[in-house]
Amino acid sequence: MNLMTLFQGVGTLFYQEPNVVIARIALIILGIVLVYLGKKGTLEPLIMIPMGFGMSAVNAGVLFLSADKIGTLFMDPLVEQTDELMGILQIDFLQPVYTFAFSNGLIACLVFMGVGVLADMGNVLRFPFTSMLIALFAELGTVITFPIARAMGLTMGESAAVSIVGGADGPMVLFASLILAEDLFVPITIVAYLYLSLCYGGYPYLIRLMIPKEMRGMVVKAAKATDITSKEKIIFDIIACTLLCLLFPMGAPLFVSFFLGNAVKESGVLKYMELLENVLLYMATFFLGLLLGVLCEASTLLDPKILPLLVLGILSLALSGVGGIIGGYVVYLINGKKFNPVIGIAGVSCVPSTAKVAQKEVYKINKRATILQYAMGASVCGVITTAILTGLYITMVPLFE
Amino acid sequence: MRDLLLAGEIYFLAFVIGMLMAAIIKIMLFVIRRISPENRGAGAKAGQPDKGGGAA
Repeated sequence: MNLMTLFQGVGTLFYQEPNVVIARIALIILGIVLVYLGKKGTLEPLIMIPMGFGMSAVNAGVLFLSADKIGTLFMDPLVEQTDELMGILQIDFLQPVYTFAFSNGLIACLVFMGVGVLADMGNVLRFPFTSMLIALFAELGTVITFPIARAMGLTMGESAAVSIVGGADGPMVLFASLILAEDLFVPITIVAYLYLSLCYGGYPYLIRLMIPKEMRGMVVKAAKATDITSKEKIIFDIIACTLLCLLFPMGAPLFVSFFLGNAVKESGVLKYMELLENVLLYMATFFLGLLLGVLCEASTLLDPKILPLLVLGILSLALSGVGGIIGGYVVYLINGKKFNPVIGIAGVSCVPSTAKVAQKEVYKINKRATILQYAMGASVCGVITTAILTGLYITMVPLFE
Repeated sequence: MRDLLLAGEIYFLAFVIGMLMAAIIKIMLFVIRRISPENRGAGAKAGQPDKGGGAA
């Protein structure tokens, strides 16, 4: 028996194009590195461990499906014919998850429901204008990256999808890129998740670069923690959700998921809370990571547009960080210099990581300074403003294309 | 230039909608607190006329 036929993962390496072979080996190694960095805590383990496993396994487990066809038994994202899809659904073990939960954005919505349960609207309701202003400034990257991406030769949809990386919300990037840039949704979402993990290491340096030490330790007057009731939060959830759905029906699945998650938390229905927070959020995050990894087949990532995406993704997040800090300075000036501009970085969404980064930086200078209330308000508002911008992009871009 | 204008337009609209939402929050809190039974009770306790209607 031919050894190449017996060990087909290795055998296929001798039948594929050299560039595909190199990419396969590089992705196998990258997958292992991602798992290591996830375990070490450098990157987000919840996403990176399943993603790394998926990436390594899909590029290693390549086999001869027929005499002239090479593929895997994971899934086929490119299948279009219904009959063919029905066949693949019975063979590829991840195809049902991809077809019924990934390609329609359900998985992004499930993650968003969980994020809704984790988010506390109290601080948004306590400081609505401050939080919203900071969050809007922190969308700078989401806006400026768009014309830059266009100048680099991407289509309008691709430019909009990669710009949304600046909103620092993984599920939002996935949802938007599925609608606006179906061909590039895999690399765009992977770039988003990779950079989201890395930017928390980079933002402290940005804070230190843009804000002098004496300002970073500034104490901000805290508000009473009990002044916003659950009833008020639920009323806000339903009003905001309805308003946003009215304005942007294309983004309605995301809006309803986020605000419903939050309303469940505020209504105190413990069983639903446990379901969304402990089961659906982690299940969706796990499969999101695994599927993103499995989608990293060498042939998918050999697209020449990947390099601009890598540059634009990091640019978008960096500009959003700069915008957030500018927003912090604007509120500092509006409030008669009684506001800590470090809070601005929390406007870059991704609850609650950026808020924690802000608090940590302030704490390093002044152990008595607590800014978490304002930072959490800006962070949750960041989710809302990213949802607004995503809604605007997916509504407006097709009109101009 | 067209892309720059579109980006500017999108940012402007986001600012308008964001600020509108902040204003809605303020109005909503004002209305809820104005009509909530607790506030009406507090007013009566303080010796002020109860604005909430009820039996004359």
